[in-house]
This record gives sequence, C-alpha cells and structure tokens, in this order.
Amino acid sequence: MGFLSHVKLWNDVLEPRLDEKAAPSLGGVHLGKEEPIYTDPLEFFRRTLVTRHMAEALENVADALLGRGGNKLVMLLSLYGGGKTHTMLTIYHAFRNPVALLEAKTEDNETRERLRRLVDELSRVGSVRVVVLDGYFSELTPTPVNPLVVPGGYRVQTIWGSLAHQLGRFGEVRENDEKLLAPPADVIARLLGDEPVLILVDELADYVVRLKSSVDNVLRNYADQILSFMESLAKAVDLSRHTVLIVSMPVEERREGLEVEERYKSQLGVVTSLYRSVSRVASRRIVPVASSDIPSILRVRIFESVDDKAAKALSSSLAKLYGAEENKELFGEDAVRKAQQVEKTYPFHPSYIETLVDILDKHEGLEKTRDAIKITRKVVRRLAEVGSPAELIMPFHIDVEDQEIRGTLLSHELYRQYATIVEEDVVERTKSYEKPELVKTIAKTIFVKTFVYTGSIRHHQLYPDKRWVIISSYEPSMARALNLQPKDYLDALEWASSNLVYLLSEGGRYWFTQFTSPIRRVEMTARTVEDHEALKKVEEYAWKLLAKPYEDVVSGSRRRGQRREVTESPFSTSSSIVLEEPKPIDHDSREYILVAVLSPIRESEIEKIIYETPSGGSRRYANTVYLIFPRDNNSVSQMLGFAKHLIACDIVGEELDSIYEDSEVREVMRKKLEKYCKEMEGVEGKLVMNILAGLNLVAYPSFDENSHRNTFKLTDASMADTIVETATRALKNTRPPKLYEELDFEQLEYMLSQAGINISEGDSARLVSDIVDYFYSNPRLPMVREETIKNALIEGVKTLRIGVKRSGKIFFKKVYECKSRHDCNPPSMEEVEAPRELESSDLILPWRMALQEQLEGLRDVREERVAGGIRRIWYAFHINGNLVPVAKALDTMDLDSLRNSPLVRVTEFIEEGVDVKLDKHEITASPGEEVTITILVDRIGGFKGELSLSATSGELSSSKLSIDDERTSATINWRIKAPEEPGTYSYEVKALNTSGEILKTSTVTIIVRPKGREAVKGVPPKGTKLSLIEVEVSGFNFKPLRVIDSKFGSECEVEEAVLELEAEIAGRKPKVALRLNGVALDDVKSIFPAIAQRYGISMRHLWYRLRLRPRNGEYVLAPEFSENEARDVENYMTYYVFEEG
Amino acid sequence: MAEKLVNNGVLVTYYAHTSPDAWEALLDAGWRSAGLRITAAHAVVTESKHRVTARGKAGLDISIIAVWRKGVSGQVLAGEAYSRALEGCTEYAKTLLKIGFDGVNLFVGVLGCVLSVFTRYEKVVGAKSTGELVEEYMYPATAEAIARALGGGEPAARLSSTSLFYLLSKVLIARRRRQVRRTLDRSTMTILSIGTRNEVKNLKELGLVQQEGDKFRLLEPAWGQRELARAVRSVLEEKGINPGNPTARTAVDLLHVLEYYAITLPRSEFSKKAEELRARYPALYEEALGLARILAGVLPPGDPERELVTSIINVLAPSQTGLDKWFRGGK
Repeated sequence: MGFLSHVKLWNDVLEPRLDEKAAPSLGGVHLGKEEPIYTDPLEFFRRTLVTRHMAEALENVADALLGRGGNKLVMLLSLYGGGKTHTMLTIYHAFRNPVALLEAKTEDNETRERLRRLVDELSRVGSVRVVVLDGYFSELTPTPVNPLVVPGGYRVQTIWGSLAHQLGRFGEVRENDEKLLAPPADVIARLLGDEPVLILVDELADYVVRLKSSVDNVLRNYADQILSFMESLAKAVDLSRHTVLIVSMPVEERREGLEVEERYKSQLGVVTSLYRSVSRVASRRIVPVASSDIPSILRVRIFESVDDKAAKALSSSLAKLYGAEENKELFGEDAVRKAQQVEKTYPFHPSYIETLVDILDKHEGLEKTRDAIKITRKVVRRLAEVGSPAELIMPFHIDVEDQEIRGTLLSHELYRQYATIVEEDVVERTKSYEKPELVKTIAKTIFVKTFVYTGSIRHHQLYPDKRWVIISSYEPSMARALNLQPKDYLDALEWASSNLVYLLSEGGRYWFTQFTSPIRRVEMTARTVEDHEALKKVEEYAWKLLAKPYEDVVSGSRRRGQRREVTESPFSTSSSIVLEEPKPIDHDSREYILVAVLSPIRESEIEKIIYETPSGGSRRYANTVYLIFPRDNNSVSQMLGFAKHLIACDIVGEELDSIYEDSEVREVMRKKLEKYCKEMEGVEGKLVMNILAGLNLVAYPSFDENSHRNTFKLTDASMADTIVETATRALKNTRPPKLYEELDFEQLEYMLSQAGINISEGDSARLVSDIVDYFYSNPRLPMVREETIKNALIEGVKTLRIGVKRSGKIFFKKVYECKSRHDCNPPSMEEVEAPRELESSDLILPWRMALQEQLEGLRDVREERVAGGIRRIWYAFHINGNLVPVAKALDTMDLDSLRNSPLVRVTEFIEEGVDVKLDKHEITASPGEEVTITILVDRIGGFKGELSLSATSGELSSSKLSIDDERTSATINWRIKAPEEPGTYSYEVKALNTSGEILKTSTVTIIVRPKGREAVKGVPPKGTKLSLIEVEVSGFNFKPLRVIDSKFGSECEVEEAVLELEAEIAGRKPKVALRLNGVALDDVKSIFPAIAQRYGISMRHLWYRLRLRPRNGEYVLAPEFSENEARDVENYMTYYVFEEG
Repeated sequence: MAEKLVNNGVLVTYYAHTSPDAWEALLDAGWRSAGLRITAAHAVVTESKHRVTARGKAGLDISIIAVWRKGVSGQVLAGEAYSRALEGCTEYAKTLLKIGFDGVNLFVGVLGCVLSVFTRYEKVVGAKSTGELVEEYMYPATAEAIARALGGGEPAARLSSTSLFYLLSKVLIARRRRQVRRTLDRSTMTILSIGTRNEVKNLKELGLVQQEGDKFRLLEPAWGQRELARAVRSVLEEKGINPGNPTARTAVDLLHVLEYYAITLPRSEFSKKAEELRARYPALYEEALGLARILAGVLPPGDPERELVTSIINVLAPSQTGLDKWFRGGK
C-alpha cells in the first residue's frame, strides 16, 4: 500500500491557494488577517512542530517573565525562512492560550515533557501584554508615509510610536513620534512599566532596508533612528523587570563573519548595523530550525497523522532490499543506514529531504522552511490527486514536468535555461529507452539534485554518485508496477549518461549542465552526411565483421585482444566478400564463399548471383556461393543512420578544441563524446550490432525436385559474433540442414545416391577429388567441408563399404598374419586396413571391386626354399575355424561371405619330409558302415626315401611307398568300418621313415549315427520311438527350445548344443560361439537365451542347434504336441526313428 | 507378430515400463526388426493410482498405447525426417491443443505423430542406433513441435536430454494454485523421462527435480516471490549452486545461473559474467541460450522464468525484432 494509506493529510494541503500562505506572518496573525489555521492557537499548534530550540526559547521567555533569570532579550537568527516567524508565532500563541501548546507535535518525549511543564508555567505568568512589531504591516510598524491613524484619535508614524500605542501610552512618546526621533532607553523603560510585556519584533530588516533604500532623506534618517531605537529598546528591556524582547534577524553567525540573506546582500551594512544595535546588549541567540528539523517540520505541516508502524515496516523492508546479497554492490553499504532513516523521515525518503534542503540552501530565489513546505505541499497534493501508489515521497516527485513546480524551481534567471533542457532531455529523449519511465525518473532525480549548481564542473564533487542516484530513484511501488529490478536502475543510469545530451558524468558523479553538448553537435552534423558516404562506412565495418568477432572490431571494447575460439566454418574467409549492392560474382572454384550484400535482394537476382558468372555463363561449382543480406530496407536505414553518426563523431571530435575553450569543460565533453561514440555502448557498437543483426536472411543453392532445376532457398539468420558465423549457424540450423559439419559414410552414400551416384554398390571407381567436386558443384547436395567428406569416405573403408586404391595398392580388408595353419587365430571382429587420410588422387572403389582386386593379387601360393625346408606363404579366409585358400574361396564362395570373413596370410615353415593330406576330415556314417578316405602323401622340400604308413584302424591300400624326384606324391585308400555303437570316433594315420620316425600324422573323425530311417523333419506322431532329436533355429526365437524342454527335458540329455551369435555395438561386431556337450536341456534353456538377451537389440545374427539322445535306453516315446506347440517347433525339429535290431 | 499380421492389420502395444531403454527396445523390435510403423500413440490410464502393487515402485499408471501397421519403405536423412516431422506434427499438436489435450496426453500424442513420420521409412540415415535417433531427432522434434504449437518460433538449438526434459516439464505441466513450483506425479515424471531419454534417478541427481514421496518437484524459479532475484536464487540454493562461484552440471543449471546474473547484475556486468561462463562451459552455454530462446517464446506470462529468460536473451542473444529493444537498452 502506498504512503497515502498510512497518513492523513491536513485539509489545507489540498487547497492550492493556501500554498502561498504556507508561512503566515506574525503581524497577519496578530491582526487576524491570516487563515484560521494560523490564527486559532489550537489549529496552529496541531500543525506545529515544537523543536527543542523552540521549547528552549519558550522556557527562556517564561523564566524571564516570571523573574527567574533567563535572557530578556532573545535573537532568532536564521536565513531564508528558517522558522523565525513560526517560532515567534509559537511564543505568541503559547502566551495567548498556553493549554493549546499541548496540541503541538514534538520530536521526542523529552520535549513533550518540557511542553507540559511550560503549559503550567505560562499559565502561572498570568496576563501578559503582547506587543507585535512586524515590518511587513504598517499598522504595526507605521512610517511617516504610511502612518497608523487611530480612529478618532491620534496618528502614529514610527515604530516606537507603535510600541507606545500598543502599550496604551502613546502620549509619552508623541513628540518623539512626530519628530521621528528615537526615544532614549529611560523613556522606553517607563513605557514598559512593571507589568509583564512580551515584545515580538519580526521582519525588521525588511522595514529598515526599505526606508534606507528611499530617495527621501527624511525616511533614510528615520531608518537610522530605528537602529538607535532598537539599541535603546534592548537596553530598556535589559533594565526592565518583566519585559521580554524577541527579535528575528535574517542572519547567521558564522566563523568567517555574518551571513545575511541574499535579498539583503546589497544592504549588508544596514542589516549588520541592525544586528549590532540589538546585540550590544547581552542576548540569547537561538537558531529556531536546523536542517535536521526539516523532515519533522514537513511531516507536521503536511500530515495530520502518520502511521509509525508503516514507517517502521517500510524502513525494515527497504533495509532488507538494500542489504540483500545481490543488491549490496548496487546500493552500497551506506544504503542500509539510509533505509533506517526512513523510520524518521517517513513518508519522505531521506533523499527527498536531502534534495530539498540542497535546493533551498543553494537556490537563489527560494527560502528555507517556507519554500520547503510550499514545494512539498505541491508535491504531496499532486500525489494525492492522482492517488499515487508510491510508498515513499522521492526526490523525483519534485516533478520538473509539472509546470507549477518547474515554475517554482526554474523561474530564476540563473536556472531559466534549464526549462528547455528538461523538455528536450528529461521529457523527450528518455522516451527512446526501453524503459522510458525508469530513465525519466532517474533523469528527474539527478536533475532536481543538481540544477541549483547551474551545471558547473567545478562543483562535481558535490554531485550525486551512482549509488545515491539509484537509492534515490528506487521507489518500491514503481519498481513493482514496472517490474523493475534494482540492476535495471544502473542500466538506465548508464544509458542516460551516454544518451542524454545534458547529463554529464565525471569521477563517478552525475549532473545536468547547461552547456551545449557535443552529442547535440554530432546529431546535427550527422544530418549533413550523405548516404553514399555512410554506406562506405557500413561496408568498411562489414568487411571487418566478416570473420572478426564484433568485440574485436569495436574500438575500446573490453574484450579487444582476448581471443575467443571462433566456430569453424566451411566458408573461405579470404574469398568471402561484402557488396554494397547485388552483382555477379567472379568465383568458380572449389571453395565455399559467403557474399554479404548490404541491401535487400530480389529473388530473381539471387539465382543470378548464385549460379551465374560475370560473363553470364553458368558457374561450374554451383553449390559454392551463399548470400547473406538484409530482409528489408529498415535494417539498412538503421545501419546508415548509425554510420552517419559515427562519421559525425569523428568530425565533432576534431572540433572539440575550438568549441570548448575551458580545458576542464573540454575534457569532460571529450569523455562525453567518447562515451557516446565509442565502445559497445556507443554509436560504433550500435553500428556493428546493426550490421550483424541486420544481415538476417541467408540464401543458399538448392535443387527443385518438381521443376528439376537449380534454385535457392532462404533461411532466417540470428546474429552471431561474425557475419560468417551468422550464416554458418543459419545453414546448420535450417531444417533440413544445408550445412553438415559431421557426416558418416551412410549419410554420404545416401546423399550421393540422391544425386545418382552409387559409390559402394556400383561398378565404377571414382577419384576422391571427383566425389568432393560433386559437393561443390551439385546444389542438391549439402555444404560439407572437404575434410568431412574424406573422413566419411575413410569410415566407408573401415566398414568395408568401399575400398581405396592408391598407386596400385588396395586399402580394404586387413590381412592377419598366421604362423601356420594350426596357429591361426584372427580376431573374431573383422578389421580393415584404411588409409590414415585420403589424397585427392586416390580412387574410391565399390566394395566388390575393392575385394576382387585385393584378392586377385592373393590367389597364388608362394614357396621359397630356406635352410631345412621351405617357407610357404599363402592367403586364406578363416571360415568356421578352417582356412580356405583365397583361390578356392573365390571359386566356391560368394563375395558377400568373403567380405566379412577374416583374411589371413599363412607363413609356414615346413621341414623336409612329407605331408599327409586327407580328402575328408569328418565323416558321418551308420553303425558298421564302411567308409573310404583318400590319402595324398606329398613331398616337402627335397625329401627322398622309403616310407611306411600306419593307421590306428582300418585298412590301407598300400602301406609302403617311395618318394623321390620322379615320384613326389602318392595316393592311398584307407578303408574303415564304422563302429556299431553310435558316437564320435577319431582315427590317425602316420607316415614314418625307415628309422621309424614319424614324419607326419593326420586324423579323421567318424560320427556314427544311430540306426534308423532317414531323418524326418517336423513333429513326430505320438508314441513314435525316437533315437535322436535335433533342433536347429536361426533367429531370435527360443520358443522351440522351451517346447522341446517341456517335452523331452526329463527323458533326454543334450549330446551337443551349439550357439552362434553376432552383434553390432557402436561399430564393433562381437561374435559368440558356444558349444555344450552332455548337459541337461534345462541348462541350455537358461544359458542360450541369457546370452542372447545380453546383446539384445544389438544382435544381428543368432543361430543354435541341439542334439538330444535318450537318457536311458535306446529311444524315447514321442509325447503328444498341442496345436500351438506343434506350430512352434515344426519348422525346426528333426528326429530319427528307432529301428529294432 | 509381424509375420502373423495381415497386411492391413493393426498391432497395438501397451507400454507401461519405466525405463527409456525398454521403450527404445520396443521401437527397435517393432520398427527395425519387424518392419512395422507406428501410426499413432496415446496416453491411457491403465492402472489405478492407488493399486497395492504400485506401492514403493516407479510403476506407470498410464500406458503408452502405440498403434502399429505394416508398410515401411524407403530411406531418408534424419535431418529431412526431422523437418518433415516438425512440419506435420506442429499442426497436429495445435489440433490436439485445440481439442483440449495437455500434459502427458499432448506429449504422447505428438510423440506418436513424430514416430509415425520417422518409422514410415525403412531406414533413417544419419543415426547410428535407435538410441541416437530418438535422442537427437525424434524427441527433440517432439519437443520442438510442441513448443512451436505453443507459440515458440525459434529453432530449437541442439538440446540435451536434460534440457528437453526441463523444457517439456515447463510447457506441458501446469502449476497448481499455491504451488511454488510445478509438480509432476509419478506417471508424468516417468513418461517425460522416457520421452526425453532420461533416467529418473539421474534427473534427481542432476538437480532437475526433487522427489517428495510420490511427487517430483521441478527445480525451477519459484513462483509467488515478490522479487525475481529471490525466485531464481532459491532454485540455485536448492541445487547447491553458489552464484559467486558457480559450477554447472547441465545446461539447465547454467540457465539458472545466467537468469540470476541477468536479473541482478547491470547489463555490462552481466555480459562480462556471461562471457566467463561461455569460456568455461562453451557447449552448455550455447545450449542454455537456445533453451532460453525457446522458453521466452512459450512460457505463459505469469511464469517468473519467462521474464528471467527474456532478460537473458535481450542482452545475450537479441534477435532481429529484439534488436531495437537491445539498442534502447543501452548497447
């Protein structure tokens, strides 16, 4: 709630006509000519603050009148309406109606207590004759020219005549009155007599000065007589028993001498003489009102009541706000103390009082308390009239926008020039800030605080600093209503300091000057700068901004020189250009360029610039020219506007010496100019930001699928640090993106396929440089850096989608080394041999071509004789644990299988002797079946001699043979009868020399299947005798396993279970192969799915096979399969029927 | 299932899991493995909130019902699919808003739309895995479509999963009267975390939410504070971030630090501090700024964070339209 809810205004405050009566005169009250609020003691005291000094004056008078000591002569000294008259009135009313004194306000309890005592004492004094001599009223201080004519009586023409008349003893001084001769002290003493008399003399200086200024000698002489009279009066009072004389003097006693009010300065001698004439007699000096009394006086005079609780609450909430961690720096440490003062000054902010006192102290045309009340009445009335929500009365409420207040403050000739400045700067210019109300408030705060100094630079230490300005502008209700944060005040102050023409700052102080500002000159000069000149300036800055961050471009920017990492861009910054207006570009090479055009471009022109060369031909590299330009002319106008100002800044900068002769003024103005022109906050910063933000549309090459022609697309651009960065971000963020900073092979392949180029599956080899060229020349393709394309190609090699051919060498499959065919364990994960980086002349081969070419060179077996034998080098694929020589693989297997099989180079050392090779190593046979194996005995090296063959079982067609140069090999048949019992059996055949040494051993495995008919695929009929059950599944499907387990788990055991899977995880291809023998079916059911689930969605291939045999006996009986069960297994199950015998 | 599905048949899946991985596995199985496409998705209450079996568990009261059909074909670049999804689903989101969808219902509906665009292709080129695809394209497209439908026009910067979660919580969840911060119930929390690829546990650890029993409080600038600075300071305090020497784990942390600076420091000081943060956290800084841009466009006027983010972008990322203001602001 605003302060208006916590105070009650005196009714008179709402009446403008009473403003001028804010300070009643003593004479007016005495004569009953003032308003009742002043003439009625009760009303008067309700609006009166009795200060400690005033109470002291009252006590002194009471003591003197009661004869208890005290000074009988009291001088009230102060300048400019410093409460002299009000003190006189207080004494006047107190003696007329002592009890009314209790209505008065006091500053503290002690004073209130003193007042209570005073009421008693004044009542005891009894009847007191009160004489009022007020220099403003001829009825009370007549002159020969304006005498007091007593109806039906006499004519009074002097001040002493008035004294005698008011005491009812005019006759005793009649002659002195007629002759304008001051009566001596003894005559006066007689007049005063023994009864209590209180003489109040006010505005005597004005009275005497007026007479002294007269051209009439009689009057001037009378004036001199008054001085003499006052001295005599003082002496007479001193001699009297019950008379008290109170005289007000418009002076202050200072160490350096007497200070008199401005209006009396020309008559200093007269006022000084008057002062001296009274002060010759010992008197008591009282300064009725100090500056510290002003808040209390204002509160009493303006408000009938003030809610102290509200004051306390606001003081505490302000202290909390000022002291909050985030605001400490802003408001400063002293702010909390100020918030505490609010409790006393409420509803005035302490800064309001400071400002008001400052104005009244320095202002040449205003009086202290009197005008403080007058101004405050106007301020409060305005707030009350609009029902202001303000929680405090702030300095800016002394609102210079208000004509009445402006008239009061600025009508003096010293300040008259400010009226235009207020209009121009405070009222108009503040409108251009984003928070106009705030900055206007700040401007008003600074203005009312500083205008009385008339803008002198020499006073700058007296001007407010930023903290004072912020504290004094921050009014909580306004901050809430406008949603302002404390820091917004500092932002606004900084803006005002740069942008308000007459607001100066120096050494952290702010003030309004009346000097013509350089900003005004810049503005005027800017109007004379031509558009073409401004455009040159914009172009100059646009060139700088192409690749340089804006804060490095702006002079004096705080980050200047600090390097920030600039986003990498595919644009060539050395080839990118700035154009004032659109025109053909002479560029047709393999680099992306950005063309910044400083004017909007028509659509028809965009295509021309992107695709045509200056000669009118088509650009070969049609995907390389990108445009950035302003969407409309508004941005351009803004750029030009700031450029003109910047040019004007330079011109005015050079003229400063001749404009400002005073070096101190010049220095301040130079700083003002620099602040306005330079750095990020100045014109230069604004120009730079305008260029960056004004280039807000990017045009890029594109392909229209419908019309099948090259065209362009537009995308919005948001300002970044440089023009190139702005365009780069726009191209990256547009949907779908035009710029790809990263590219994997899959994307590259897809993009090229969209342009009709198939690099992995086709049958053409392409140069790397050609592939890169596609991107530079095809608008259908995105913008990609050459390096990125090459990296994607390398990734293609790594994933075996393409190969690279460089100087005859193929980069494709990696060849693993094997020491022998038995010691060959290539990794299960296939690797590749990819070049570290690509060269433009490298050929990119589709994978089939790459594989074919790579394998063609690896077909042959190479042998070389070495000591003790031969070294045989041959290449093979490692497939299912077997080595398949390349030549055989090429003849018998497809390239798809070979691509993913490890390729090895086998380097074998073979001792001289023989090799025993079998035509088969594993044979499946029925029980008792006879099988035949062909043995090839082959010579190794230069072996010669007799050999014998020995087999662990079966019969050899020949067991002796001879090997020599003529017969280097021999073929023998080996017949074996398979055992009757089903199972797996191994048999060896050895070649021995004549000494019985084994030269070579080879092994064959015979798997004996149980007897029965042919294997039957599908689900067996219920009751079928089953000797063997096989299940083979390819794919992520463990249902058959579960069904088989439920049907045969208790009666069969697993003779063999094999699982193979392959997965793909982050580019790796892990493979798992697992063989289980003699385990329970339940184990398989747990293990296999667990492994498969481990790889989950990454799995690419899964296969498993089970072979089950009856746990007991030769067969099991097939159970009944439900329809669902049968469906789940029928495609995967094979069984053998048991045959009796 | 795909084999058994007739050509014009419809397969409906109920998803009530709480893990984002499992949702991706479902997508992977249905789309990549079985060759089905999602044609719509809805959030449906399938469990009683008070069921005994849910006690102490992060189970879902709401299931994501996805409708699948046969018919995937062709390839597309992920970026192209994104822009198609954005185009179609922004309109769809607007339609849903018009007919009164909000919160999780709106989110799942739009997610379904986005998924329908992506899964109609047999292959989306440019993402190495389903995880990458959902994280970098599908979920951001969902968030952006919702943000655009709600009035945010700025292109979404590359937002991490935590930023997406924060953005969606801010735009989808309404604050109840007298609540100082938005609160997400268990199901909403779970669905938003799934739909942004977050684990609830991580979101708690990273200071995005605070769990209070069954509810999750979004750590956002507090509502109902007399001063904005206090609103954002409170969230920093809750997160244990010291504004004097801040450390940021996520772009959301950094956003709140920037908000605090923007509202308490004068423009020049704020720019300086922001530069320091930019140097320390370059990626998080860009992301925080992107998040601020979107939030400025989509937050309701009463949300204190709307003004906070606006304060940031007015100084750090003035757009063309905002530039005038920026100049008037003294730069």
